[in-house]
Amino acid sequence: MSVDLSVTVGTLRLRNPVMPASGTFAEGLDNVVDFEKLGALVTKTITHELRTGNPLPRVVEQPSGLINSIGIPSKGLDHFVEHMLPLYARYSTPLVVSISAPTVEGFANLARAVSIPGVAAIEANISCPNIEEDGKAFAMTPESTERVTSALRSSTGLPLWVKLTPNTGDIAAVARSAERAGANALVVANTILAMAIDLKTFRPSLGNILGGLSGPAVKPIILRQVYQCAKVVAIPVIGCGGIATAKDAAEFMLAGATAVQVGTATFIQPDAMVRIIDGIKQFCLHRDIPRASDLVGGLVVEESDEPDMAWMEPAQ
Amino acid sequence: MPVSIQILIIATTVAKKRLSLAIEIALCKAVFFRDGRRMLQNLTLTNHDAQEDWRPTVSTETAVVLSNKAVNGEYRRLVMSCSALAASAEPGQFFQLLCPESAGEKPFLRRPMSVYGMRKAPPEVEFLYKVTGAGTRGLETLVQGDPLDIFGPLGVGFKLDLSWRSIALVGRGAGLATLAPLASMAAQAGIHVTAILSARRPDLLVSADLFRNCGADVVGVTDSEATSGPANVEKILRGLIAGRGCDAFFTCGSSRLMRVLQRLAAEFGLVGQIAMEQQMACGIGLCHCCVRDFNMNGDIVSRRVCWDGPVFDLAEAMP
Repeated sequence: MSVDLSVTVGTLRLRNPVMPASGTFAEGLDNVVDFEKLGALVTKTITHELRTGNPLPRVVEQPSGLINSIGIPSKGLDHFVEHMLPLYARYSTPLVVSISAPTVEGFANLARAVSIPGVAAIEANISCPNIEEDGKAFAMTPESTERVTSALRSSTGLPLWVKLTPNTGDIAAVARSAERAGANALVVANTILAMAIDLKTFRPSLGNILGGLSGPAVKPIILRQVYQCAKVVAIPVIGCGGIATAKDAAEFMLAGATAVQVGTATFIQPDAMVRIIDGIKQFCLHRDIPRASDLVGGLVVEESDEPDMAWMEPAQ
Repeated sequence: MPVSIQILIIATTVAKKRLSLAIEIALCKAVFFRDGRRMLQNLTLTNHDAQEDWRPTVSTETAVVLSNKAVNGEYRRLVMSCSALAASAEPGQFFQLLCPESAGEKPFLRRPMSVYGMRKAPPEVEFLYKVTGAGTRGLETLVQGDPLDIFGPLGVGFKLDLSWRSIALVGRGAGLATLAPLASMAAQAGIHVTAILSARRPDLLVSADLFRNCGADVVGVTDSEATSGPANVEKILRGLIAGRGCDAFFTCGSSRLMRVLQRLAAEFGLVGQIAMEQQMACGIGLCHCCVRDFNMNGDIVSRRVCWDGPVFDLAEAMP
């Protein structure tokens, strides 16, 4: 039996469901990973202007995870168009450009500026906990999500992926508002706002005090959020949070993810994405599943389980 | 206009027939020279046969411990049997080691470590480390025959100009380990090495014999003998420049010594290279956590130590 690994995210057909998470991918990874094997390529978030990023230290390791406060250093839009885009033109793998801006207008203008040949989709990072004070982000509320997504929608004809934050009380409501405003897919999710303290110095372990937790530590939480989002929207959900193995990826797809992003795992195993792609194929072969897309939303839930989840819904 | 050649290439790509790579390159070049760059790019995009030739240039592999022994009261030497690709490491490059668990500790990230030595046949790579944290406490537990997941060689190493006749290596602490393989590379290139090695005590000058075996003149300076201060190191270097002469400086491990070298390099018009350290996560330029500031012709520029370095131009380095 052969396994068809391809999946469809909106209008975009991917050769397999595995792609890097924004901020954990750059051209240097092609020394270890054949980019032609990946489902998509996702750039580090770019901003219109130059940004230097946050003060050091920018990362601190935790048991089974990592807190980062990199702060989106960016060489700006012009550098991306002139120097980075041509680098990726040599690959047939679709290029997804992650963008961020401090305002609705900034987001719309940047989306318009990167709607150019060579870009297959836009991922709007409306959820970075490191770019606004105290981790505030558009994706914290349904209202601000709808506002920024509407503006993005009217500024680009490219597939629009919106990256949600896990740091909100009702992620399903945020997911619905993004869909309503015209998003073609949701990336669920970004890092979880976190901190650590150095007991030798009594100082914060990160230069920015707060950062975002990623890695296997967050996987069960983000898996739950993927499930909650996929249940309430018709557009594809892309799972992103602590995925390190093919089994993790299969769990996310069963919970409703059409595709997955792999981030922190690449820091530990640089070829993690290729291992996960091979592992999904083996998993499907082993279970006699002809298409990887058959996994999507395949979670078996008894109906009586539903009321048990009711306590998680906001009170009316 | 080689229309027939273009059609030939596209036809073979579609048919997935395997032309020899040499013929493909020759055909692409013909189109390139007559029709310009764009035509070549278009063909490259449709030519998936060429992409099947992708090979890793950095190895992620399970190496095997040959030995892991203390060399003095502080430092341990770890020798690994590895692939030819890993053993192709150059002085100044580094590896990311997935350190094993030790009692109650599981380091999550890999640990960067510069290469201390390398051999082509049989392929081996070695590291010199001091036990300071969770990662190195894990390394300490390794015994002969144990596997260790290594990722490398990474980063930009030292470069030698074959026209040089004499260079100075100035290092302190763990920086001695980074400079040690450079002494052997210089010896092979017929360049004389003067090594000024700095440590807290004479017994911690770990690599002195290794430098001597490469034919280097070794000057040890230590805190306990009150010889390691910047003024004395400067005096030694001025003596070298006035005597045998010196074409370039190489340094690692001390920002005090870096400033001495920068000042002397500017005064005598010498070039220099410095291997820099920084906390890392990915090791291959993805995460931007290991950035440092550099002075590039008056502009302060943030660069990634793992990707743009760890070896940088001495004149551009900032403490």
